[in-house]
Amino acid sequence: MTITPAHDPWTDRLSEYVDGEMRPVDREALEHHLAGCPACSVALAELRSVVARAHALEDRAPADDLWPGIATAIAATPRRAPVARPPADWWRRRLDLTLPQLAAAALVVAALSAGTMWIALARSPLRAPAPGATAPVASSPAAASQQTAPAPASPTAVTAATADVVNPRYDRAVAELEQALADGRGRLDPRTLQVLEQNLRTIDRAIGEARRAVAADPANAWLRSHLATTMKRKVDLLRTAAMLTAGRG
Amino acid sequence: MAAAVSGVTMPSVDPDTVPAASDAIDVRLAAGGDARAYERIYRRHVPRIHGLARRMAGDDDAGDLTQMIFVRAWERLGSFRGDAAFGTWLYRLAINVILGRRAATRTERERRDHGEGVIEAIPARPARSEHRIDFDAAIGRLPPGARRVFVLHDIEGYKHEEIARMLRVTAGTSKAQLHRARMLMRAHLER
Repeated sequence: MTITPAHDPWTDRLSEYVDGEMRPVDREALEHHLAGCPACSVALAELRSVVARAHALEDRAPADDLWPGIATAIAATPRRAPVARPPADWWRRRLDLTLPQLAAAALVVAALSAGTMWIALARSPLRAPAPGATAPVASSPAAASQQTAPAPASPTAVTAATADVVNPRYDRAVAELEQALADGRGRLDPRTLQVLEQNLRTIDRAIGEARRAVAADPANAWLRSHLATTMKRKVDLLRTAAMLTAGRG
Repeated sequence: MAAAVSGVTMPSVDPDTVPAASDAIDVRLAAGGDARAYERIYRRHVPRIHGLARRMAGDDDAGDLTQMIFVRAWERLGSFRGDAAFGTWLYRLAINVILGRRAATRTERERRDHGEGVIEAIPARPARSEHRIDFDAAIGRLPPGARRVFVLHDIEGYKHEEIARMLRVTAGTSKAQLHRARMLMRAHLER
């Protein structure tokens, strides 16, 4: 049972005490009062319990999915400001992403454009298999990973795999993006730049390993898709870096 | 065959299974019109936004308010400059939408519910797994002014000065409303 000290003036100040907003002199006086007032002591404990419960509340998604309604609304809703319009000094402001944010950003951008490089490589004249080619080209990295029995090698398949290694469109895209990064690296936070470069080195090593694996087993569809995916990751990461240096999405 | 090195997960990862964890990127994409990116933003933030709407405005209006908040945010993505975390910007926008809606459509029910006795109608329940839901229900039955301050201060973590600016009251009023809310919630806790 709660004892309510309705007329105790200290009762109205218990929340201040709980929140640490009381002046030291008042706090000392209240603590002196609490020592002799069981009612206020109980009220104080209960208030602390309320605050703790409030802090511990968990959010949960609504029972009904609200996204369809939102999607419909935004499809018909013009923006009030079409594209982010940064202030004049925004271009010179250093970006200060946290490392986890940056790592996540790289993964997210890679995920978002997962099909882009794949399609680009698949459409490359150097990579397109000739009619009758037996080596399958997986439609996605996931599909590629499910290839358990690669088709036997054929001259066409070997050519296609080799084309992944020397694709001039890829090399040109990488060169342009690397140049963009080099031009804008001064606008990146040093720690951000460090992580970017570390990730690029990692991906370069993976590309090298994948190229060697393809060279050793050129008919292996999974290895070829692995190489293409890894190359795409480098383009995606460079694209992210260029976007960050340019300050636009 | 997969290996994770320095934050970059290497091959054989289905891109669709990679968790989208970056507001920074998705906001940029959504600002360019990418609805899929905006859906990811929605999925990440809807629990808290809906919780805020439910606690501030009640169950009946929470769904409509949540939709309104996300549509409003979509309209205004272009004004997000990245000076603060996107979540902070979104929650502040949500509070403005909720408070604006309240001001525009202050209902008879709210006026009727303005008394402290309302919380007395909350049924006593055992403090087990449903306890938090009961606590939420009790918040929803606080007098509106006390409820808003309680939600903003004790759940959302805003300071009295910030709340005072949002609600256009004094910091002293905010403190008084908070204490009133806590005292009422305390009465509920003992049941």
